[in-house]
Amino acid sequence: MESFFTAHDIEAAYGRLQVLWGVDLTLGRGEVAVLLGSNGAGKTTLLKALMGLRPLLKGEITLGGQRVERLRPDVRVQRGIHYMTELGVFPNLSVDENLQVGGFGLARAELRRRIRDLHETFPDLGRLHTASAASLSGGQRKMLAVAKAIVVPPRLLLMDEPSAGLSPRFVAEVVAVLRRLREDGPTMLIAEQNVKFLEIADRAYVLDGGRISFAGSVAELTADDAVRQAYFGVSGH
Amino acid sequence: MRRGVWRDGAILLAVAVVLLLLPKAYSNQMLLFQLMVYLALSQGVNILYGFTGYLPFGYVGFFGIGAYGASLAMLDLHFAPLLGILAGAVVALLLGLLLSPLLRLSGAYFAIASLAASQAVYLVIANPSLQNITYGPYGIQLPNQFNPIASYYTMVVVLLLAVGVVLYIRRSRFGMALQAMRDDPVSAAMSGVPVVRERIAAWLISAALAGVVGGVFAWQTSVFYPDAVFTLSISIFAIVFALFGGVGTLLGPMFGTVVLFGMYNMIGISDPQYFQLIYGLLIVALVIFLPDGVASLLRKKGIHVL
Repeated sequence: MESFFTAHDIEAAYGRLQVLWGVDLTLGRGEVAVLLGSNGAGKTTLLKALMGLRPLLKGEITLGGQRVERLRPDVRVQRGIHYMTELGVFPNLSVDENLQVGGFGLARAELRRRIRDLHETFPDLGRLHTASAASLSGGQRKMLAVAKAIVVPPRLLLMDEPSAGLSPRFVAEVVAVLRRLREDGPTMLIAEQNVKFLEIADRAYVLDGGRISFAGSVAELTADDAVRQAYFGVSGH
Repeated sequence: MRRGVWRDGAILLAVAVVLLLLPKAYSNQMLLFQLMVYLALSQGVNILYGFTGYLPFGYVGFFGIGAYGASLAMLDLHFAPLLGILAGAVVALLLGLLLSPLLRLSGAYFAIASLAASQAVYLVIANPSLQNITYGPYGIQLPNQFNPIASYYTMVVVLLLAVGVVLYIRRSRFGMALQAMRDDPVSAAMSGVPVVRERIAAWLISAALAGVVGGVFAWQTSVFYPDAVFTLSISIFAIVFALFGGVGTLLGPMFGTVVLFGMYNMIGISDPQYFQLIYGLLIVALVIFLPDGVASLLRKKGIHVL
């Protein structure tokens, strides 16, 4: 598949402490990739670097063949790169207000139409549209975070640990939502520790100590003994 | 949407009727004027702290510079009072613009830096060597401008304006963006909200409001010293009133101002030592038990607070 999004030789640091070394990523249009890594591996830093929220020491980023690494974060958003943070929602706003902020740049009529569409895609959110985001369950909150991130349809969606703080039941709900989303949705890069997200992925990367230690298809990943040991808790033998 | 506009209009009308009838029910117009000053200032704090999370300890700086801007425009440029008040608002706006880099700070750093900035402005104004320009520490006198009735009704209009601005912010996408930024500025920026622009807009609206209030205050009193319009207690009162009622709402700061300002006038003047004790205890209790103000009590019971 022709590459749609590429990150090449990405290096980033916090002050003098370098945390990413020579990271390469490639995704085809509409592909879903999971970026696995333990706490402190550099997943969030990598997403922030791709989004322009952390300066790069070096590296190139392209989206649809165009270089974007020198663009400001807000310009990257305009180019279609959306970033779902770990918190993901604004707790003091209602469900619909969250969606309205998600579509901040849209004209009012278009925004209303998009929110109606999202109520149909996520019936729970439609039912709870006036409820405060703080009053939602963990799973509903992640659903809202996903919905908010796609009010303006993204070309590339970067997601930071959508399973964070969720019980297994809610993780399954979020995976189901993303499975529906990927049918005609954006290219997605999901930073995760939870291997359940591999169910919906075409491609996987493992980030270990700021370096990519594995890159390949999900099938290749699940066959990799070291990765199985580290993330599935089982060995191939 | 249309229903919301009608509701906001009805609220404005109700506030206007109350303010216009108050002098008939209560004869101390000076006290009513001061109440309105704090009602407006607490809404100014509300706009900034309630919707963006920036606590402006130096808020009095805008009030003071507004009072001086208006007075100097009347004295030196011979502006009519209303035009002078407008000039005071413009000066406060310009000061806000000058101080907008402070918004790069957050939390206690912003609070302290804004306080330092307001004191710096005070020291410049009160500097004896600038007496030819600012009248220095000897203060301002506005001869032939004293007009308590006109200034009272101007303050009514300014307060209605403040209420209108807060109602607009609560319903608008601008207000929603501000609250989103308060919750999570990175997520808000990633949703396409121009975080810096919106934050500066809220800061300038809040600054201009304090400037207008300062200008009307100067007109009303017509004689004042720099200490009177730059005293830190103005900031503290406005902040405590707003926090007591509950920021992020319209009625919270109004309730806080009416209750605490009323209390101040009941016991703060006759028995200041008890007042300070009660006030101190109240602030401690507020921080411990009701950090989101009285409005949060109602919200917990499922009651929507406007």
